[in-house]
Amino acid sequence: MKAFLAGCVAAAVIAVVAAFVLGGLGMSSADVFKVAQSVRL
Amino acid sequence: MRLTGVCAHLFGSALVGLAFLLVGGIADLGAGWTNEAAAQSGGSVRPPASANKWAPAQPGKIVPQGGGDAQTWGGAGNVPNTAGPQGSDARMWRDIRRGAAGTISGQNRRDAQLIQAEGWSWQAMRNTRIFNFGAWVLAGTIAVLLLFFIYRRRIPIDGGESGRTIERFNNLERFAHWLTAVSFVILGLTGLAMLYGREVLIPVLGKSGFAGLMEVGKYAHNYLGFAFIVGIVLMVVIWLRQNLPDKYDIPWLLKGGGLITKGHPAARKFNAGQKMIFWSVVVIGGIISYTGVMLLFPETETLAQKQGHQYWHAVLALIMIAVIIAHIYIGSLGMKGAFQAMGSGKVDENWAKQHHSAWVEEAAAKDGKAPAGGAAE
Repeated sequence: MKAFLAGCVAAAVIAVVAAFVLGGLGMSSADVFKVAQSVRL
Repeated sequence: MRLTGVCAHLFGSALVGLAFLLVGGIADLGAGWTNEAAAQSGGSVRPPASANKWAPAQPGKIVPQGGGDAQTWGGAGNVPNTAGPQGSDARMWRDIRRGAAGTISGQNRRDAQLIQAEGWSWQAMRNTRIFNFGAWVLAGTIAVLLLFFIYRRRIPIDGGESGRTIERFNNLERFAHWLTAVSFVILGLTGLAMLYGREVLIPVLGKSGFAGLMEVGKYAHNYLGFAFIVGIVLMVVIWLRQNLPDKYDIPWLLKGGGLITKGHPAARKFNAGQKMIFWSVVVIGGIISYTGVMLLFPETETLAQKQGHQYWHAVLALIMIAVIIAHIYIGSLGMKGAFQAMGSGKVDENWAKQHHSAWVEEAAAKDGKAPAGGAAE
Protein backbone atom coordinates (compact mmCIF):
# COMPACT_ATOMS: atom_id res chain seq x y z
CA MET A 1 0.00 0.00 0.00
CA LYS A 2 2.87 2.35 0.82
CA ALA A 3 4.51 1.57 -2.51
CA PHE A 4 1.24 2.33 -4.31
CA LEU A 5 0.86 5.68 -2.53
CA ALA A 6 4.51 6.49 -3.17
CA GLY A 7 3.96 5.74 -6.86
CA CYS A 8 0.91 8.04 -6.97
CA VAL A 9 2.76 10.88 -5.24
CA ALA A 10 5.83 10.44 -7.44
CA ALA A 11 3.70 10.50 -10.61
CA ALA A 12 2.04 13.74 -9.47
CA VAL A 13 5.36 15.33 -8.49
CA ILE A 14 7.02 14.40 -11.80
CA ALA A 15 4.04 15.77 -13.76
CA VAL A 16 4.08 19.07 -11.85
CA VAL A 17 7.85 19.42 -12.21
CA ALA A 18 7.55 18.71 -15.96
CA ALA A 19 4.84 21.35 -16.27
CA PHE A 20 6.96 23.97 -14.47
CA VAL A 21 10.14 23.14 -16.35
CA LEU A 22 8.49 23.22 -19.76
CA GLY A 23 6.52 26.31 -18.80
CA GLY A 24 9.70 28.03 -17.62
CA LEU A 25 11.43 27.20 -20.89
CA GLY A 26 8.47 28.51 -22.85
CA MET A 27 7.95 25.03 -24.23
CA SER A 28 4.68 24.03 -22.64
CA SER A 29 1.96 22.83 -24.94
CA ALA A 30 0.17 26.13 -24.38
CA ASP A 31 3.24 28.22 -25.21
CA VAL A 32 4.29 26.56 -28.43
CA PHE A 33 1.11 27.53 -30.21
CA LYS A 34 1.85 31.15 -29.48
CA VAL A 35 4.76 30.99 -31.89
CA ALA A 36 2.40 31.12 -34.83
CA GLN A 37 1.11 34.46 -33.62
CA SER A 38 4.46 36.07 -34.27
CA VAL A 39 4.36 35.18 -37.94
CA ARG A 40 3.20 37.91 -40.30
CA LEU A 41 1.94 37.21 -43.74
CA MET B 1 -12.75 -34.28 -18.89
CA ARG B 2 -14.39 -34.19 -22.32
CA LEU B 3 -16.14 -30.96 -21.34
CA THR B 4 -12.79 -29.49 -20.32
CA GLY B 5 -11.34 -30.38 -23.70
CA VAL B 6 -14.26 -28.73 -25.49
CA CYS B 7 -13.88 -25.62 -23.37
CA ALA B 8 -10.16 -25.52 -24.03
CA HIS B 9 -10.87 -25.84 -27.75
CA LEU B 10 -13.43 -23.03 -27.61
CA PHE B 11 -11.07 -20.80 -25.66
CA GLY B 12 -8.23 -21.55 -28.04
CA SER B 13 -10.49 -20.67 -30.96
CA ALA B 14 -11.40 -17.40 -29.27
CA LEU B 15 -7.74 -16.55 -28.82
CA VAL B 16 -7.01 -17.33 -32.47
CA GLY B 17 -10.02 -15.22 -33.43
CA LEU B 18 -8.70 -12.29 -31.42
CA ALA B 19 -5.29 -12.68 -33.04
CA PHE B 20 -6.88 -12.57 -36.51
CA LEU B 21 -8.93 -9.58 -35.42
CA LEU B 22 -5.80 -7.79 -34.27
CA VAL B 23 -3.78 -8.67 -37.37
CA GLY B 24 -6.71 -7.87 -39.63
CA GLY B 25 -7.26 -4.58 -37.91
CA ILE B 26 -3.62 -3.59 -38.27
CA ALA B 27 -3.61 -4.66 -41.93
CA ASP B 28 -6.76 -2.66 -42.49
CA LEU B 29 -5.18 0.36 -40.82
CA GLY B 30 -2.07 -0.02 -42.92
CA ALA B 31 -4.03 -0.42 -46.14
CA GLY B 32 -6.09 2.63 -45.36
CA TRP B 33 -3.02 4.71 -44.56
CA THR B 34 -1.32 3.56 -47.76
CA ASN B 35 -4.35 4.31 -49.89
CA GLU B 36 -4.72 7.76 -48.42
CA ALA B 37 -1.02 8.45 -48.84
CA ALA B 38 -1.09 7.19 -52.43
CA ALA B 39 -3.93 9.50 -53.20
CA GLN B 40 -1.88 12.37 -51.84
CA SER B 41 1.39 11.49 -53.51
CA GLY B 42 -0.30 11.21 -56.87
CA GLY B 43 -1.02 14.88 -56.75
CA SER B 44 -4.70 14.40 -56.22
CA VAL B 45 -6.12 15.84 -53.10
CA ARG B 46 -9.44 14.41 -52.27
CA PRO B 47 -10.78 15.33 -48.89
CA PRO B 48 -12.67 12.26 -47.68
CA ALA B 49 -16.34 12.84 -47.13
CA SER B 50 -16.08 11.37 -43.64
CA ALA B 51 -13.38 13.79 -42.59
CA ASN B 52 -15.58 16.75 -42.11
CA LYS B 53 -19.10 17.54 -43.08
CA TRP B 54 -17.84 20.76 -44.59
CA ALA B 55 -15.24 18.96 -46.67
CA PRO B 56 -15.55 19.62 -50.40
CA ALA B 57 -16.92 16.62 -52.24
CA GLN B 58 -15.24 16.97 -55.60
CA PRO B 59 -11.79 15.47 -56.12
CA GLY B 60 -9.27 17.47 -57.99
CA LYS B 61 -5.66 18.26 -58.58
CA ILE B 62 -3.72 21.22 -57.38
CA VAL B 63 -3.10 23.27 -60.44
CA PRO B 64 -0.75 26.15 -59.87
CA GLN B 65 -2.24 29.33 -61.11
CA GLY B 66 -0.83 30.36 -64.44
CA GLY B 67 0.44 26.84 -65.06
CA GLY B 68 3.75 27.34 -63.21
CA ASP B 69 5.39 25.09 -60.66
CA ALA B 70 4.95 27.37 -57.72
CA GLN B 71 2.35 29.75 -56.56
CA THR B 72 3.11 33.27 -55.66
CA TRP B 73 0.45 35.73 -54.95
CA GLY B 74 1.89 39.09 -55.75
CA GLY B 75 5.19 39.30 -53.90
CA ALA B 76 6.57 38.48 -50.51
CA GLY B 77 4.58 40.01 -47.74
CA ASN B 78 1.37 40.26 -49.70
CA VAL B 79 -1.67 38.30 -48.73
CA PRO B 80 -3.56 36.32 -51.36
CA ASN B 81 -6.03 38.57 -53.08
CA THR B 82 -8.02 38.94 -56.20
CA ALA B 83 -5.18 40.81 -57.87
CA GLY B 84 -3.15 37.59 -58.00
CA PRO B 85 -1.86 36.42 -61.35
CA GLN B 86 -4.37 34.93 -63.75
CA GLY B 87 -6.65 33.43 -61.18
CA SER B 88 -10.18 33.82 -60.08
CA ASP B 89 -10.98 34.32 -56.45
CA ALA B 90 -12.92 31.09 -56.24
CA ARG B 91 -10.14 29.08 -57.89
CA MET B 92 -7.47 30.55 -55.63
CA TRP B 93 -9.36 29.72 -52.47
CA ARG B 94 -10.17 26.26 -53.80
CA ASP B 95 -6.47 25.62 -54.34
CA ILE B 96 -5.64 26.91 -50.87
CA ARG B 97 -8.23 24.59 -49.43
CA ARG B 98 -6.57 21.72 -51.26
CA GLY B 99 -3.15 22.44 -49.81
CA ALA B 100 -1.51 24.91 -52.20
CA ALA B 101 1.23 26.98 -50.59
CA GLY B 102 2.15 30.60 -51.26
CA THR B 103 5.11 32.66 -50.16
CA ILE B 104 5.47 34.59 -46.95
CA SER B 105 7.97 36.90 -45.32
CA GLY B 106 7.94 35.05 -42.00
CA GLN B 107 10.68 32.75 -40.78
CA ASN B 108 8.60 29.61 -40.77
CA ARG B 109 8.11 28.43 -44.35
CA ARG B 110 5.38 26.04 -43.23
CA ASP B 111 3.12 28.97 -42.50
CA ALA B 112 2.96 29.63 -46.24
CA GLN B 113 0.50 26.78 -46.45
CA LEU B 114 -2.75 28.00 -45.02
CA ILE B 115 -4.53 24.64 -45.21
CA GLN B 116 -2.68 21.32 -45.02
CA ALA B 117 -4.79 19.09 -47.23
CA GLU B 118 -3.29 15.85 -45.88
CA GLY B 119 -5.12 16.69 -42.69
CA TRP B 120 -8.32 15.46 -44.34
CA SER B 121 -6.80 11.98 -44.65
CA TRP B 122 -5.45 12.06 -41.12
CA GLN B 123 -8.77 13.18 -39.71
CA ALA B 124 -10.64 10.47 -41.61
CA MET B 125 -8.11 7.86 -40.44
CA ARG B 126 -8.44 8.91 -36.82
CA ASN B 127 -12.21 9.23 -36.77
CA THR B 128 -13.00 6.01 -38.60
CA ARG B 129 -10.23 3.41 -38.86
CA ILE B 130 -8.41 4.04 -35.57
CA PHE B 131 -11.74 4.61 -33.85
CA ASN B 132 -13.12 1.25 -35.06
CA PHE B 133 -9.82 -0.59 -34.56
CA GLY B 134 -9.65 0.45 -30.91
CA ALA B 135 -13.28 -0.43 -30.25
CA TRP B 136 -12.85 -3.93 -31.72
CA VAL B 137 -9.53 -4.64 -29.99
CA LEU B 138 -10.72 -3.48 -26.57
CA ALA B 139 -14.10 -5.19 -26.87
CA GLY B 140 -12.40 -8.35 -28.17
CA THR B 141 -9.96 -8.41 -25.26
CA ILE B 142 -12.72 -8.03 -22.71
CA ALA B 143 -14.78 -10.73 -24.46
CA VAL B 144 -11.85 -13.19 -24.46
CA LEU B 145 -11.17 -12.50 -20.78
CA LEU B 146 -14.84 -13.06 -20.00
CA LEU B 147 -14.74 -16.39 -21.86
CA PHE B 148 -11.56 -17.30 -20.03
CA PHE B 149 -13.14 -16.51 -16.68
CA ILE B 150 -16.21 -18.60 -17.52
CA TYR B 151 -13.94 -21.50 -18.51
CA ARG B 152 -11.24 -21.30 -15.84
CA ARG B 153 -12.85 -19.30 -13.06
CA ARG B 154 -10.37 -17.88 -10.57
CA ILE B 155 -7.17 -19.92 -10.72
CA PRO B 156 -6.79 -21.30 -7.18
CA ILE B 157 -3.69 -22.05 -5.14
CA ASP B 158 -3.20 -25.80 -5.35
CA GLY B 159 -3.28 -27.19 -1.84
CA GLY B 160 -4.53 -23.88 -0.46
CA GLU B 161 -2.53 -21.21 1.31
CA SER B 162 0.37 -22.46 3.41
CA GLY B 163 0.31 -19.54 5.79
CA ARG B 164 4.00 -18.90 5.10
CA THR B 165 5.01 -16.03 2.85
CA ILE B 166 8.13 -15.14 0.95
CA GLU B 167 9.14 -11.74 -0.42
CA ARG B 168 8.53 -11.47 -4.15
CA PHE B 169 9.00 -7.76 -4.84
CA ASN B 170 10.83 -5.28 -2.63
CA ASN B 171 9.78 -1.67 -2.04
CA LEU B 172 11.71 -0.25 -4.99
CA GLU B 173 10.26 -2.82 -7.41
CA ARG B 174 6.71 -2.14 -6.27
CA PHE B 175 7.28 1.62 -6.38
CA ALA B 176 8.47 1.39 -9.99
CA HIS B 177 5.49 -0.79 -10.89
CA TRP B 178 2.91 1.52 -9.32
CA LEU B 179 4.52 4.67 -10.69
CA THR B 180 4.25 3.23 -14.18
CA ALA B 181 0.83 1.70 -13.57
CA VAL B 182 -0.84 4.77 -12.09
CA SER B 183 0.48 7.09 -14.79
CA PHE B 184 -0.46 4.63 -17.56
CA VAL B 185 -4.01 4.17 -16.28
CA ILE B 186 -4.57 7.95 -16.26
CA LEU B 187 -2.84 8.32 -19.64
CA GLY B 188 -4.98 5.51 -21.05
CA LEU B 189 -8.26 6.87 -19.71
CA THR B 190 -7.58 10.43 -20.85
CA GLY B 191 -6.39 9.15 -24.23
CA LEU B 192 -9.55 7.09 -24.66
CA ALA B 193 -11.58 10.15 -23.67
CA MET B 194 -9.86 12.11 -26.46
CA LEU B 195 -10.66 9.43 -29.03
CA TYR B 196 -14.12 8.35 -27.90
CA GLY B 197 -15.27 11.30 -25.78
CA ARG B 198 -17.38 12.89 -28.50
CA GLU B 199 -19.47 9.75 -28.87
CA VAL B 200 -19.35 8.37 -25.33
CA LEU B 201 -18.86 11.21 -22.84
CA ILE B 202 -20.60 14.21 -24.40
CA PRO B 203 -24.01 12.47 -24.37
CA VAL B 204 -23.48 11.86 -20.63
CA LEU B 205 -21.65 14.99 -19.45
CA GLY B 206 -22.79 17.51 -22.01
CA LYS B 207 -20.43 19.64 -24.08
CA SER B 208 -19.47 22.03 -21.30
CA GLY B 209 -18.91 19.19 -18.83
CA PHE B 210 -16.78 17.31 -21.33
CA ALA B 211 -14.79 20.45 -22.13
CA GLY B 212 -14.07 21.00 -18.43
CA LEU B 213 -13.04 17.39 -17.97
CA MET B 214 -10.78 17.40 -20.98
CA GLU B 215 -9.13 20.67 -20.08
CA VAL B 216 -7.81 18.94 -16.97
CA GLY B 217 -7.41 15.64 -18.83
CA LYS B 218 -5.30 17.19 -21.55
CA TYR B 219 -2.82 18.66 -19.07
CA ALA B 220 -2.76 15.40 -17.08
CA HIS B 221 -2.11 13.47 -20.30
CA ASN B 222 0.66 15.81 -21.42
CA TYR B 223 2.60 15.92 -18.18
CA LEU B 224 1.96 12.47 -16.68
CA GLY B 225 3.65 11.11 -19.78
CA PHE B 226 6.95 12.05 -18.16
CA ALA B 227 6.09 10.03 -15.03
CA PHE B 228 5.35 7.06 -17.31
CA ILE B 229 8.74 7.46 -18.98
CA VAL B 230 10.51 7.56 -15.61
CA GLY B 231 8.62 4.42 -14.59
CA ILE B 232 9.69 2.56 -17.74
CA VAL B 233 13.33 3.55 -17.22
CA LEU B 234 13.19 2.37 -13.59
CA MET B 235 11.67 -0.96 -14.60
CA VAL B 236 14.32 -1.50 -17.24
CA VAL B 237 17.06 -0.81 -14.70
CA ILE B 238 15.54 -3.11 -12.09
CA TRP B 239 14.13 -5.98 -14.17
CA LEU B 240 15.95 -6.13 -17.50
CA ARG B 241 18.28 -9.00 -16.55
CA GLN B 242 15.47 -11.10 -15.10
CA ASN B 243 13.39 -10.65 -18.26
CA LEU B 244 15.95 -12.03 -20.66
CA PRO B 245 14.99 -15.37 -22.28
CA ASP B 246 15.87 -18.55 -20.37
CA LYS B 247 15.40 -22.33 -20.71
CA TYR B 248 12.01 -22.27 -18.97
CA ASP B 249 10.32 -19.98 -21.50
CA ILE B 250 9.64 -22.37 -24.40
CA PRO B 251 8.22 -25.16 -22.19
CA TRP B 252 6.13 -22.55 -20.39
CA LEU B 253 4.71 -21.27 -23.68
CA LEU B 254 4.11 -24.82 -25.01
CA LYS B 255 2.05 -25.58 -21.92
CA GLY B 256 0.16 -22.29 -22.24
CA GLY B 257 1.56 -21.24 -18.88
CA GLY B 258 -0.79 -23.67 -17.17
CA LEU B 259 -3.57 -21.19 -17.75
CA ILE B 260 -5.68 -23.33 -20.09
CA THR B 261 -4.88 -26.82 -18.89
CA LYS B 262 -4.03 -28.24 -15.50
CA GLY B 263 -0.42 -28.33 -14.35
CA HIS B 264 1.94 -25.42 -13.94
CA PRO B 265 5.21 -25.26 -15.86
CA ALA B 266 8.31 -24.19 -13.96
CA ALA B 267 9.50 -20.60 -14.18
CA ARG B 268 12.04 -18.32 -12.59
CA LYS B 269 11.06 -14.94 -11.14
CA PHE B 270 9.28 -13.98 -14.36
CA ASN B 271 7.57 -16.52 -16.58
CA ALA B 272 7.39 -16.14 -20.36
CA GLY B 273 3.99 -14.42 -20.16
CA GLN B 274 5.29 -11.83 -17.71
CA LYS B 275 8.32 -11.29 -19.91
CA MET B 276 6.02 -10.59 -22.85
CA ILE B 277 4.22 -7.99 -20.74
CA PHE B 278 7.55 -6.46 -19.71
CA TRP B 279 8.85 -6.19 -23.26
CA SER B 280 5.50 -4.87 -24.48
CA VAL B 281 5.70 -2.10 -21.91
CA VAL B 282 9.33 -1.33 -22.74
CA VAL B 283 9.10 -1.46 -26.55
CA ILE B 284 5.52 -0.34 -27.22
CA GLY B 285 5.57 2.00 -24.22
CA GLY B 286 8.87 3.41 -25.47
CA ILE B 287 7.46 4.16 -28.92
CA ILE B 288 4.31 5.64 -27.41
CA SER B 289 6.50 7.83 -25.18
CA TYR B 290 8.65 9.00 -28.09
CA THR B 291 5.69 9.85 -30.32
CA GLY B 292 3.95 11.48 -27.36
CA VAL B 293 6.90 13.74 -26.61
CA MET B 294 7.14 14.70 -30.29
CA LEU B 295 3.46 15.61 -30.26
CA LEU B 296 4.10 17.92 -27.31
CA PHE B 297 6.33 20.16 -29.40
CA PRO B 298 4.58 21.12 -32.63
CA GLU B 299 7.45 23.29 -33.88
CA THR B 300 9.94 20.43 -33.96
CA GLU B 301 8.49 18.70 -37.01
CA THR B 302 6.21 19.12 -39.99
CA LEU B 303 2.49 18.71 -39.70
CA ALA B 304 2.65 15.51 -41.79
CA GLN B 305 5.25 14.03 -39.41
CA LYS B 306 3.07 15.01 -36.49
CA GLN B 307 0.09 13.26 -38.08
CA GLY B 308 2.20 10.12 -38.54
CA HIS B 309 3.29 10.25 -34.91
CA GLN B 310 -0.29 10.72 -33.77
CA TYR B 311 -1.33 7.69 -35.84
CA TRP B 312 1.24 5.37 -34.25
CA HIS B 313 0.72 6.92 -30.82
CA ALA B 314 -2.98 6.08 -30.92
CA VAL B 315 -2.72 2.62 -32.53
CA LEU B 316 0.05 1.38 -30.23
CA ALA B 317 -1.60 2.88 -27.16
CA LEU B 318 -4.82 1.00 -27.97
CA ILE B 319 -2.86 -2.26 -28.32
CA MET B 320 -1.04 -1.60 -25.05
CA ILE B 321 -4.27 -0.80 -23.23
CA ALA B 322 -5.58 -4.20 -24.37
CA VAL B 323 -2.40 -5.91 -23.12
CA ILE B 324 -2.60 -4.13 -19.77
CA ILE B 325 -6.29 -5.02 -19.33
CA ALA B 326 -5.27 -8.69 -19.62
CA HIS B 327 -2.36 -8.06 -17.21
CA ILE B 328 -4.66 -6.42 -14.65
CA TYR B 329 -7.14 -9.30 -14.96
CA ILE B 330 -4.63 -12.08 -14.34
CA GLY B 331 -2.96 -10.09 -11.56
CA SER B 332 -6.16 -9.58 -9.61
CA LEU B 333 -9.47 -11.29 -10.36
CA GLY B 334 -8.06 -14.07 -12.51
CA MET B 335 -5.58 -15.63 -10.08
CA LYS B 336 -5.84 -16.10 -6.34
CA GLY B 337 -2.78 -14.83 -4.49
CA ALA B 338 -1.32 -12.88 -7.42
CA PHE B 339 -2.21 -9.37 -6.28
CA GLN B 340 -0.27 -9.74 -3.02
CA ALA B 341 2.94 -9.80 -5.06
CA MET B 342 2.49 -6.12 -5.90
CA GLY B 343 0.29 -5.33 -2.90
CA SER B 344 2.29 -6.28 0.16
CA GLY B 345 5.25 -7.62 -1.81
CA LYS B 346 4.91 -11.02 -0.13
CA VAL B 347 3.27 -14.09 -1.65
CA ASP B 348 2.14 -17.36 -0.17
CA GLU B 349 4.77 -20.06 -0.43
CA ASN B 350 2.41 -22.49 -2.17
CA TRP B 351 1.52 -19.86 -4.78
CA ALA B 352 5.20 -19.22 -5.41
CA LYS B 353 5.95 -22.94 -5.84
CA GLN B 354 2.95 -23.35 -8.13
CA HIS B 355 3.80 -20.54 -10.53
CA HIS B 356 7.52 -19.85 -10.06
CA SER B 357 9.03 -23.08 -8.78
CA ALA B 358 12.50 -22.44 -10.22
CA TRP B 359 12.58 -19.02 -8.59
CA VAL B 360 11.65 -20.50 -5.20
CA GLU B 361 14.42 -23.09 -5.52
CA GLU B 362 16.94 -20.43 -6.52
CA ALA B 363 15.88 -18.17 -3.64
CA ALA B 364 16.13 -21.06 -1.18
CA ALA B 365 19.56 -22.05 -2.49
CA LYS B 366 20.68 -18.45 -2.20
CA ASP B 367 19.53 -18.35 1.42
CA GLY B 368 21.30 -21.65 2.05
CA LYS B 369 18.23 -23.73 2.83
CA ALA B 370 16.17 -26.25 0.93
CA PRO B 371 12.70 -25.18 -0.22
CA ALA B 372 9.97 -26.45 2.02
CA GLY B 373 8.16 -29.24 0.14
CA GLY B 374 8.20 -29.94 -3.57
CA ALA B 375 7.10 -27.67 -6.33
CA ALA B 376 3.45 -28.10 -7.13
CA GLU B 377 3.63 -29.21 -10.75
